[in-house]
Amino acid sequence: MRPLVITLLSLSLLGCAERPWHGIVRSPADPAPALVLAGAADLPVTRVRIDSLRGEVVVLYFGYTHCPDVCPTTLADWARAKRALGADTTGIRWIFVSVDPTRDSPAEAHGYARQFDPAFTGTAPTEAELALLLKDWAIAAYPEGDPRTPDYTVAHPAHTFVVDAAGRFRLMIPPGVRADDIADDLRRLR
Amino acid sequence: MTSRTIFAACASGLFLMSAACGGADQATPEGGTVSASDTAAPVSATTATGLTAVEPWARPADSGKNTAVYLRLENALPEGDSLVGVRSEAAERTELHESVMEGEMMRMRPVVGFALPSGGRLELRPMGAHVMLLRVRDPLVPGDTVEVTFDFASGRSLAVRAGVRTP
Repeated sequence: MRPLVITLLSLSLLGCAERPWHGIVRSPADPAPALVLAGAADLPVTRVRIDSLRGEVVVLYFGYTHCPDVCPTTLADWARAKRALGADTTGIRWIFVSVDPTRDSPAEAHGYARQFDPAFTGTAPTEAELALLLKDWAIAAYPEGDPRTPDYTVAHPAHTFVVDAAGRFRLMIPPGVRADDIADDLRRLR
Repeated sequence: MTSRTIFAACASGLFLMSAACGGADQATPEGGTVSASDTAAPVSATTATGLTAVEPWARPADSGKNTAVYLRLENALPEGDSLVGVRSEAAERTELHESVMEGEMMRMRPVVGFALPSGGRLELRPMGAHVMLLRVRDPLVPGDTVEVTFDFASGRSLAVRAGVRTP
């Protein structure tokens, strides 16, 4: 019994000593669902499975290019986080995924993401691909207002999702986390 | 009318109070309107009839896309007011919006108006209340300016020139 108590105590002490994360740590960190995406121009294959990116930390955001406020704020925070990581930003893949198949083409999503940093990738699944993606990741995204008019908005996940280099869906970074803190979390995962 | 008389009396009382408060505010280093040392970002402030726009800025956007304009509005007048409309020639439509996080979702909704109390301020800033420019006519690139007119319940309006920049 005593060794168990000591083990538990030392584990909890270790736990205390660990620096807190800025994002929300997913526990258990399950393998990330597949991310099958078309047309991401600078990726080695035209249809990317997230497991083909093993060895890289994958930073993901599900948004849309007509998003005026939250998406550009998040991507600008990413760009600042990337700068905070310094010159060596290898090992991290930044992917903006459009959840607005009606208005966003892969090329448009890619151009949008690259406005924030040339190393960012943007992509836009088709409606059928999006349906699978939402199901696999257990997330929601849906148009609000009339999607037949040009001015509908899209409700989408608020967090940045982070998949670690082993392919596990590890962190959810809430909106508003400072760029330096995002960089801090990513540095630990790389 | 009695109620109007009472209102007028209260209003003048408030005016005196807020004038005093305003004076005190300006005596502090942080008080008053914006100064160039507050930020390295482009700053402009327009004052009309007691309303001040502080640090207006807009995000870049491609033609046909949407973007946001942010600023702080300050009301130095004895009467409270409400921001009830926005206009701009830079976009097909201009609306007041608010980003709201609900659970794990991020949503955006149009807003009819925002209160701007006497002596108070209204912050339009990223991830919150903002002016939404829908379907921008010409591309907005850093260095450009966007003109937006803010309309208030009192009938006052405030024309603001916001510099386009990346945050």
